[in-house]
Amino acid sequence: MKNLILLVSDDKSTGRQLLPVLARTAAPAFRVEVADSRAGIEALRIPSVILLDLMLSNEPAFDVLRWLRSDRRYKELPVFVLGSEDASHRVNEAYALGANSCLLKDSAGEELERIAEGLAAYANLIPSIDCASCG
Amino acid sequence: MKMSPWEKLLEQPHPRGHFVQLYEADEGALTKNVGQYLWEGLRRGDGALVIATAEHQELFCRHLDGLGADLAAALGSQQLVFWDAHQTLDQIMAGGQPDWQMFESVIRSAMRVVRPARGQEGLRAYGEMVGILWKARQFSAAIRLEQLWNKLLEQSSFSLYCAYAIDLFGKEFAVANLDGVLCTHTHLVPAQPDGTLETALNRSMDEILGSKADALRVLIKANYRPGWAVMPAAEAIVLWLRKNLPEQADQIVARARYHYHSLLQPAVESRLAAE
Repeated sequence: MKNLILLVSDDKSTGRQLLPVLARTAAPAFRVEVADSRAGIEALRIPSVILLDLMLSNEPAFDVLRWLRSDRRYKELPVFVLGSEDASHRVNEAYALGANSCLLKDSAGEELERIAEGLAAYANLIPSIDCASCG
Repeated sequence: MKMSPWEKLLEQPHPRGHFVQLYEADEGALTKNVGQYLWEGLRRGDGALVIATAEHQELFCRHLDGLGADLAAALGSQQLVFWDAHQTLDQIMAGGQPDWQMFESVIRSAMRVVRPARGQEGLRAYGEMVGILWKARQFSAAIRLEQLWNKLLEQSSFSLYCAYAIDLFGKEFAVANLDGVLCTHTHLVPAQPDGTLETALNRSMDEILGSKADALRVLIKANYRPGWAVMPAAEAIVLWLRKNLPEQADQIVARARYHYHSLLQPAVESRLAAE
């Protein structure tokens, strides 16, 4: 079974922009899926990396991040938040809540492609999750 | 030769700039950078206040002398003033923490002693009381003292250069330990402004991560951390690796240390030969 990169976002434009690039660069080692809430995350397999959009409309992204960091299935997983320069206070708060890294949502074109390649390379370097012990 | 942005920063620090250097891996680099910061200030007529250990005072004096500074004149006119870091620290601590009123009174007295050249009013300060607290594992007191310096920087126009004996290649150089230090400064000064550390680190990443190194560097470069001091690429990479790839980080950083010292060796040898 392929490892999973999980994008947590309910913003259609983020999905439209990121998904094709991620799917193309992560393949064949990774599958990319989308969830838009905690329930959506729980419905999927444990991913290798989570990309969390800080501008969720279904529920506060900080609540999702707090939950990820308190749930034993997800707390060790790398969480990259997708933020923006004009909301830097939100980015700082995300770091305080345990985000691993922040990527800017407005990265575009070739740069976005290269960042996605970086994510795929990173996902390949981290130890794979033993889902049997995740409960 | 073209000057790097970091060398320009030391030459002309902006007022209220608050710099930090982590020097344990390369104490010579501290002497060189602080020497440059002070020397450029003296040449421009700025006053310079150095609150340092006796050992560092001696090293800085020797370096300034080598650069051509007229130390006797600068000290005599009080354009350059040295205070002992341990004694000054004793005067500002109360109950294990630095106290604002004591700090403000002592540091303002020190600043009043300094006399910039006629017609000038710039002041460059260097302080390592924070480094002494850190070395004594009084981490919260060190961060509190940085916050007090920032309060003073908001009220007065001067630049400040701090130093900590932290090893960039050691495990202590990690986000979990250094967040407070990085949040209280405007710039993290590179050990070698010419990019030697970055070269060493890139070489090490290429050797250990192979074809994935380039893609990973792009991802690390894209990392957005608005609350931190501006920092050189190499230091940012080490912090990122320690946080996000801890298993590979030890190996990469250990090899980078070897490359760093190998790259510096010819420069050291040629300097010794010239002396």
